Amino acid sequence: MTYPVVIAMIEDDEGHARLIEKNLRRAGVHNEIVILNDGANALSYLFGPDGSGAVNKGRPLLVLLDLNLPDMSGIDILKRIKENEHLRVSPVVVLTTTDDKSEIQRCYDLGCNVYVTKPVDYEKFANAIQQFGMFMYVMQIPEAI
Amino acid sequence: MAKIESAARDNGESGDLNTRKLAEEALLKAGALQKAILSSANFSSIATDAKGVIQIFNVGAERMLGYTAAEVINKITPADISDPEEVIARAAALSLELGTPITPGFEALVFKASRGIEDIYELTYIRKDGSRLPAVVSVTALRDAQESIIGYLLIGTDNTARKLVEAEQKKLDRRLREANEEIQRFAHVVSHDLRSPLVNIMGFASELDFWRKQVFERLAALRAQIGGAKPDDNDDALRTDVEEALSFIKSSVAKMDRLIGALLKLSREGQRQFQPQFIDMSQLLRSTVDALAYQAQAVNAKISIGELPPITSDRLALEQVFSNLMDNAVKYLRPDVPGSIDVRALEAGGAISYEIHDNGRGIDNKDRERIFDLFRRAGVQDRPGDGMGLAHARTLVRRLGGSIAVESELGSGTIFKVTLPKRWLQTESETMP
Repeated sequence: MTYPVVIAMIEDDEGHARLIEKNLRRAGVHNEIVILNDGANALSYLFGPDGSGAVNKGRPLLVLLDLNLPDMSGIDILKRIKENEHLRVSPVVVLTTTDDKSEIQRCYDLGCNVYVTKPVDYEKFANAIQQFGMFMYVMQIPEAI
Repeated sequence: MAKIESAARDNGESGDLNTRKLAEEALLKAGALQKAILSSANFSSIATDAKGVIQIFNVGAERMLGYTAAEVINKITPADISDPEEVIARAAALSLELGTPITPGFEALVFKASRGIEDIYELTYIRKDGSRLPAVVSVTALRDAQESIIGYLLIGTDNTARKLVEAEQKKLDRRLREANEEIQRFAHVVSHDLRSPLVNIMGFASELDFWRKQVFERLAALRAQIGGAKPDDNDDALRTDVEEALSFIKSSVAKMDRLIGALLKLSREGQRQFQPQFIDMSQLLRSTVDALAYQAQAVNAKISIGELPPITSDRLALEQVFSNLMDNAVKYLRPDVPGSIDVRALEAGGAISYEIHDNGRGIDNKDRERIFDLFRRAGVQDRPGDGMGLAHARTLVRRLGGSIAVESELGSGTIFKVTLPKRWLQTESETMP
């Protein structure tokens, strides 16, 4: 059986999470969104209690990742996802306030699939998220291996 | 010394009276010189034979190194009283430089001199009591009449004072670098952490704005249902108040975002590595003026660039500095008089002063230091700007080893002077890890 795509949103700021969710919904994204508000929660959701990632086997997962988390760097989570035998195929969208060129480069280097900056200008912010939501329609999202 | 003695002996054997006489005169002259050198207590003069064994150890050497001449003559080589690690390092460096294997020992101390290369270098002697004496050593090969080497002369001066200054300088450089890095990190973290809540304030203010429209639409619809608004309902006033509040929130957030962006830009600029290169300053200023041609024409300003001496510095940094100063000069001209901006330069010593003279509105005495502070501006606030330009310019000029100064008279003009070293070379404090 096939599962619908689940969006795992790793975001410590509740407000940001609400705004992102709102704009995804406005773009017509109806998928389940799981909000993970710190690094530890994110790791346990993604890799399961045994830490292997097998818990998500067969599920199509899209990860929205903020880099500035209170307990760890999002970069470390990205690295772990892309090194994991089950999750490495899951697309990771880095969604963060950092627009540092070297940081962006580093994320792509580590295998992030899309890097989106959160602008303070809300029109641009809403646009970016909504366009990304529409992009999700045409995206094929693989199941975790 | 060895050379002279050897020459005299050779001539004695040949039996040529005339040559002998000349040699004796030379010996007499050299003898006076030799005596002066040898009796100087401020230079350690150590002469060796060709193999390095010490033959002469003057009073200076005795005083500076703590050995008596008798303790070292015919016994050891200067390498035996030098820091062994330095000797090894010198041998390795010379082997690499000259492409031939050099033994760590006396050979390393005199190899260059033996090849006729002038050689002055820093060497740490180890005194008899085991303490260290940093010295600057000049090495000369001593040759006989046939030009074959019969020994070496090592003249050393005490380098302790300079070494101390250098060590102190290094410590200061390191502290400065650490402080710089800390500021960079601070600016980086602060700017990102401050931006995050702004996304929310802006986001939810915009959401409120969106709901406001719906609320007033619904209110209007409800009023229509009950037969229209009464005269004292004042929906329009309420709408205006809400609009005004939201617009203040949004414009303030936007301003704060710009300030944070500026801070971030400044911290990134601080991290950029400078590349010294030869720069034609007349040309640099001309292209700066070209970029300002439109603004200058709009305010009827005449800009003249004198002959400016070239400089070796970082091009991008100077472009930013002068484009900022020229931009200011044009921006703050007086509307009632034709603008005139004039760039000239003064060269003195190893430094060049580039001066930008304008006949603009001028800067009040009390503001002359303030204008270089971040986010601070002076005079009537009728021109766009974020108070970043001069702060940035001063940071750049200082990193380039220069200074920036201002002279001004309110209502008649301003002179900005940028003084820079003619040749800027990367120093340790500039090297980011």
